Amino acid sequence: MEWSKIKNILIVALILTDILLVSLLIFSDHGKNDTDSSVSVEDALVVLSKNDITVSSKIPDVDPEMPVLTLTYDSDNGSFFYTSSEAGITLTENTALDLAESFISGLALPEAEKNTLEAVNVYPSEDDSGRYVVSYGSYYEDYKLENSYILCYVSSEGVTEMLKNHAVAEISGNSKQKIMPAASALLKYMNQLKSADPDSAKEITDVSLVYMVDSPYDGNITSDTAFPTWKITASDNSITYISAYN
Amino acid sequence: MRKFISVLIALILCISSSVMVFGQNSLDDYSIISPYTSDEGVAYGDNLLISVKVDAGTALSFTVLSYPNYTSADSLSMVPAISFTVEEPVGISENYEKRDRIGFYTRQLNDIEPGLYALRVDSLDGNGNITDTYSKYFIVKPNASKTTTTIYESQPSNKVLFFQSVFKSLFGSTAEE
Amino acid sequence: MNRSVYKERFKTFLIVVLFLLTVLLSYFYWQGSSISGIKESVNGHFSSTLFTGEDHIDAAYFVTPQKVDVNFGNGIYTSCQELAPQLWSDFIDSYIAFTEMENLMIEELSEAQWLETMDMKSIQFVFEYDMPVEFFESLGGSNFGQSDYFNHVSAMALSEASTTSLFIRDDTLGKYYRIISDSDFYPLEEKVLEISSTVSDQYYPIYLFLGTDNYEMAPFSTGILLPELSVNKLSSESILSSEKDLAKTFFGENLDFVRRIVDDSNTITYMYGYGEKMLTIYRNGIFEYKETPSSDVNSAGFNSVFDTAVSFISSHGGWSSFGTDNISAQLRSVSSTSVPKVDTYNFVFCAGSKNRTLYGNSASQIAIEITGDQITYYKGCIPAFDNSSFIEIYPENTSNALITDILARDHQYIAQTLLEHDIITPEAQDMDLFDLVVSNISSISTEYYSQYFEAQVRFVPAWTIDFSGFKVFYDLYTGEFLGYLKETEQ
Repeated sequence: MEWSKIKNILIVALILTDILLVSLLIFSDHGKNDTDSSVSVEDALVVLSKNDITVSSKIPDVDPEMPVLTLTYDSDNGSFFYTSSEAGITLTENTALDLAESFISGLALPEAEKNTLEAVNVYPSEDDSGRYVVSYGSYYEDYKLENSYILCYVSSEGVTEMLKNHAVAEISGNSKQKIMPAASALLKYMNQLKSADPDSAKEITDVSLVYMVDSPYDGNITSDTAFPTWKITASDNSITYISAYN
Repeated sequence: MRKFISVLIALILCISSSVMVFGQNSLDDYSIISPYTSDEGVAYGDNLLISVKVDAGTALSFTVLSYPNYTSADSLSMVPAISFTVEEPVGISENYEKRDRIGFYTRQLNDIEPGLYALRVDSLDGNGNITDTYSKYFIVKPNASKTTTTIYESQPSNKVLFFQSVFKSLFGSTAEE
Repeated sequence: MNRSVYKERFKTFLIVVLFLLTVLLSYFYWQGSSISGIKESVNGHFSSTLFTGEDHIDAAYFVTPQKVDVNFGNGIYTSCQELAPQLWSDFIDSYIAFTEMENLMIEELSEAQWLETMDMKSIQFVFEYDMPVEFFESLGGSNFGQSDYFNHVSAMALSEASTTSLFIRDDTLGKYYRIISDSDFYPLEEKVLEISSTVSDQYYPIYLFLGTDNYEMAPFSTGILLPELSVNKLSSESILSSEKDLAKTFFGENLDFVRRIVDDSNTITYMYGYGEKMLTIYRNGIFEYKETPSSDVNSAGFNSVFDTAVSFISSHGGWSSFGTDNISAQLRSVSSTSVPKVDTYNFVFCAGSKNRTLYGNSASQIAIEITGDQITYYKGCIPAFDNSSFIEIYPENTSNALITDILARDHQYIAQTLLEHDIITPEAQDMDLFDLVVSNISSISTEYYSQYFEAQVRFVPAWTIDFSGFKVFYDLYTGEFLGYLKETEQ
């Protein structure tokens, strides 16, 4: 029995085993990066329709991984009232929008890369003042920042009231984390809906990925962290937010 | 008549001197808190604490005196009330100036030999003249050593064993922590 | 033939190394890790020395008596503050030897017996808190065992009355005990002699120098020179520059996915989930960490809870908040509440110097609440002082203010303050005010009182007159009134 030969064999065997283990570990590392493709969008839609939930909007394709955003709020957010010298403009949706646009551009709001402010909606004010409300939403790239908004109340004299809760966003840190795909979000939506009311039926009119902070905080916030969130809007105007991070 | 008056004076002197010897407080302007003495006028220890609470508006002078001829006195009642032949000051006299509020005169004297002592308090007027005087006499004795009295017998009669010891004796092994 | 011997030895060595590597890799694989996972766990233990700081500190290190009352046996008493930790640590070996003796007996004593015992030559270690007996059991040797008699130790003493006995006082039960052994275990005579040769103040019962009915032992003057301590404050920016490092000790190396909120007073809040874990950092460096109590917490014994608390503090910003070698942490309070199933303990640590507490300095107070094995509340401070600026200032005029003078001068003001804070009741006012104040004194000691200035903090040596938790502070040398603190504010 030659110890020397045995040792040589042992060394080779151990080296091979170690190489195998290392490659297995690397492989499982890659495995973690694959998108969880357990449910396809088509399958999800089928399940939803069986449960009286129809989807009439496009389901967006999104990146499998997304970062968080740091929101920095304007230092002068709040409610503002104005008297205007503009006299008697005929008030329509379009003229209201024009007045609001010129007002907003006159505000010189803080700007940041990839941040845009857009008028989202114009509608008559709910009180009897006959004013129009122009609501502005903030966007980081294509993603809406749900917590940042400006409401302009426009009367025939111009903008008489503004409610501003405006923030700009930037990516914080270097990491991105995997997010739940749309299909999973829809299924989760369905589960939440059905456990609250098994007989409910909905028509989903919009599915989009936004950035938002949804848990409350007591205090005047100057900076906060927004997370990717699925926003599901139904035809009855109900909005449901589902956190996109697992 | 003369005889009567001299007897009266002698009587008054006797009474006032016994008051001087046995009285705890004298005048209303101050009260002597320490040296704190037993009924026989004995203060124990070799460090002497003097503490006097003084009323507002009172000026005093304090002197501690020792009487070397009476080192073995056991109680004040054994000491003749009048005419101490030798008295020596312990340290210097200290003045307490009058204040508009109450105050304290405190002093600690260390390494006092056993014997007869007095704290003499002189009341002073605005010019520093003595208007009144009071002496508190006391005997200093060393602290009784307590080693002779044993509070505890070496073996208590009611033994209460630790549970662990009982456990150990039952099972003959060390108990778990 | 030497070469082949070396070759064989090398091969054997190589086999051993490869085998160990195989074991290690198999372990990781079975754990379900990946390369990135391994990297994370290696880096995950945050390496900043600022916050994970020192090597493990034994929890027992913080448990020292607040003072040691010494009776020299000839009617002279003193109480040692500065010497207390040293005397205690010198005593521990004797204590351990004692607990390892065979045939230990326990006897309950009456209060009269206790007082008579302490009236002889004795040394009494007095704690500021009632420490559960489990702590002393673990401190001692293995034979000490479970005691069914007392459940806390408020004071531990040695006395000439019985040199083979260890005397114990439990204030939670109001009882006194002695544990008796077969032999002497502590050099009492020697220690008392040693103490008598150090500078210490003579303590008297209060009635002896103030004339009011109060039998507490206290000094009216001190021969001990205490320096004033002064240290510069760090700016808010400087303090907060390390806030992320602190947050990492709670939330892990990667803070990117933790919600971070800054409000208009520059208070920073880190939130995990819907507030299950929350860390709030204020601009002066004080921080608070809260965790929602978990429903499936594991019950644990006192020692385990105490260890967990101390370890948690050590690895989350802890002891470095006191900032300097001259200021150390002292355990100042231990309390517990029994909730269904699991006990909750609260520990408070305070900064101190020369075994005197630095009062009035909330930045140097650490409070922690622990239920079972879960920390539910923790308050500490990011180092707020510049260590290198620490200085001790000894007074030029070393004569100190006398307690008698202070009380004579200020007793009316003190009486008023005690009334305002409900320490004394209005009916009591019928008493002579001076007697009223003095009869309510529970202790007199020398401590430090904090005074804040623009750029620095000064800790002033102070006479501390304690009225059952309500403390009034006077400058030790000038007798000036410094301030007062209610128990909850300290």
